[in-house]
Amino acid sequence: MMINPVLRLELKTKLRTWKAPVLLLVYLTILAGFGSLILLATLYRSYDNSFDPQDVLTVYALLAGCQMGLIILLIPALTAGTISGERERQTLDLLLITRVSSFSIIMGKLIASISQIMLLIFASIPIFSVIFIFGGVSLINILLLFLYYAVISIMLGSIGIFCSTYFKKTTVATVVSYLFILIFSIGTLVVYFIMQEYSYMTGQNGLTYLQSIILVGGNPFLGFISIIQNQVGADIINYLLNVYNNPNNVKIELWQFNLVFNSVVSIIMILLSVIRIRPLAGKNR
Amino acid sequence: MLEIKNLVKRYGKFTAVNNLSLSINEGEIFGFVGPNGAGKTTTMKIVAGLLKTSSGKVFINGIDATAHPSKLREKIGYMPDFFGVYDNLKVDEYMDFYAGMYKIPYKERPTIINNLLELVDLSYKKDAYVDSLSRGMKQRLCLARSLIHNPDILILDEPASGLDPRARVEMKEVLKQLKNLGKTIIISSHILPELAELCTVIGIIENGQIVAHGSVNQIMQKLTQKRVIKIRLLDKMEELITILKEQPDIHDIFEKTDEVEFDFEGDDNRLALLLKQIMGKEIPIVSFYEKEGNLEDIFMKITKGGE
Ligand SMILES: Nc1ncnc2c1ncn2[C@@H]1O[C@H](COP(=O)(O)OP(=O)(O)OP(=O)(O)O)[C@@H](O)[C@H]1O
Ligand SMILES: [Mg+2]
Repeated sequence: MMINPVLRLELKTKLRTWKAPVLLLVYLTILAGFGSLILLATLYRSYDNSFDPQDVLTVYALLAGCQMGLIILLIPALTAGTISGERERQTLDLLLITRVSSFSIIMGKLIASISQIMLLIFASIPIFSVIFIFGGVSLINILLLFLYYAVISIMLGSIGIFCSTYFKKTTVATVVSYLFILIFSIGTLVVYFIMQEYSYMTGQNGLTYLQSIILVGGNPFLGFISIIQNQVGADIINYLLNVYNNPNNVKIELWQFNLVFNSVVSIIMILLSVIRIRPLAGKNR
Repeated sequence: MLEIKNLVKRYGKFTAVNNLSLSINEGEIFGFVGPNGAGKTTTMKIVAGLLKTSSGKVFINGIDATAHPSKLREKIGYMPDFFGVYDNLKVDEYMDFYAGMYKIPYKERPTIINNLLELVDLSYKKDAYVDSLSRGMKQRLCLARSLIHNPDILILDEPASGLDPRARVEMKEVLKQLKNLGKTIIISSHILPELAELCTVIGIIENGQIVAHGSVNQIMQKLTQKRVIKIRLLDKMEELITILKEQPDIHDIFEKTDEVEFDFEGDDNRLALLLKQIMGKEIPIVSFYEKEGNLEDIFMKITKGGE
């Protein structure tokens, strides 16, 4: 078995520089700093200086949310330069003429970037384990959360790589990747609220659950909340979406839809990227 | 070995390669010469499988390269005119990476890499970082990279551009070794003399079309309607001039103290006869030779620049 040479090269050259440990250090500092802050805040709030299990769960949710935000911010920076960087460095042609397929090149780049994120996520486990000591968080929920991190990373990563193949300049690709994310996370919500409002204004019952899911089901933040809320005992999603306005009797939960949606988006983005870099793709014009 | 048939490449409305046909035999070193923007890089990229044709075909060993690019990847080594290297990568790791890209088994790699670095004289830089190499070294490294999968055909786009005279000579030495290894090489340049001594065949391209094609001598003969002959002699200048003036194919006799220069339109047989005639008159000739046509002049003459 031969390891994808693009992946091997990326890992070798990335981990060799000072940037990798610095990134890790900064990442863990932010996470740990944020974690201690909310821990202190909840301690301060409680009268008898003891932990309410509910507080622990709040800390868990906030910390998980912080990690989610960091991932979303980091992925475009890690992926948007992968192909455009090769172009700018004038090494892309040298990859494309080899026997390794365009698909493997794209996957090598994607997996390398995701591995870096995974490294950060795994390194954060000790910080999370402080919370586990206090108990109250189920292992299943943690696993589900980490799976969600992975899927979201792959989805955002494939968008970053897609932008990197379509735009010649890394800076443009990075900006467009962040725009994509903005549209995904804020844009969908805005559209959702406008349509909801419109529905009420025209005297209807608001959007049905199915319509809501289709509109905002891919939203990474809602997906995250949908996963974490079961644990925290909140019911934000049901409050936000009209769960009871469900004439189609849709049973699917938002995070389930989110996982499927993200996977589909990832596959499409990867395929579009492959088509884009294949030198002789399509018919001869 | 390599056959290009009616190749056309358009960028929008602009035609970069215009109905170009070429055929290159095994073991040939084909020099592709033309001014900037003539279409050399475009043609070479198409042959390397990096660019789509607008129309026309490229056959390599009889296989349609435009239809089956992946089948031919291992047959072709390509060195682009501009290229970069990765940061934080050592010379042997760089070679190992491309060996991986050509799916060469791990255990075969060290030997191949050592031999290639030896060939391009970079063995002593094995542990250096590639981005620290000089331009000439990078160029040689890129040449070694293009050879990693032992291709039959090498496409080298201006491998000597930007090199100082010494590095040029070194590059030329490496190319001569490759020639001896029996590789078929296509090499481009916009400087004709640079290719003259290396190439077996030369094709001159301008505005996307081949305007002259053949061995260096053939091209020179085709393009210089006249040959310039120079004779140095010790004495009997008048007698020589008389003979020369009798010849129908000699013009523009130019006389100096001890030498004569003239334009000659005949072929080699006529030239031999002329020499015999002069010797018959016992004129003390010191030297009798054809002045080398200036390749630079010829090049300027055929490629009149974009019209
Ligand atoms: N991607 C492109 N889009 C539009 N025009 C292009 C493109 N690439 C090349 N051209 C045009 O095609 C023509 C041929 O370019 P090419 O690079 O093949 O020339 P060349 O012979 O290699 O020149 P040089 O000696 O400068 O390297 C040029 O006029 C160039 O402007
Ligand atoms: Mg060129």
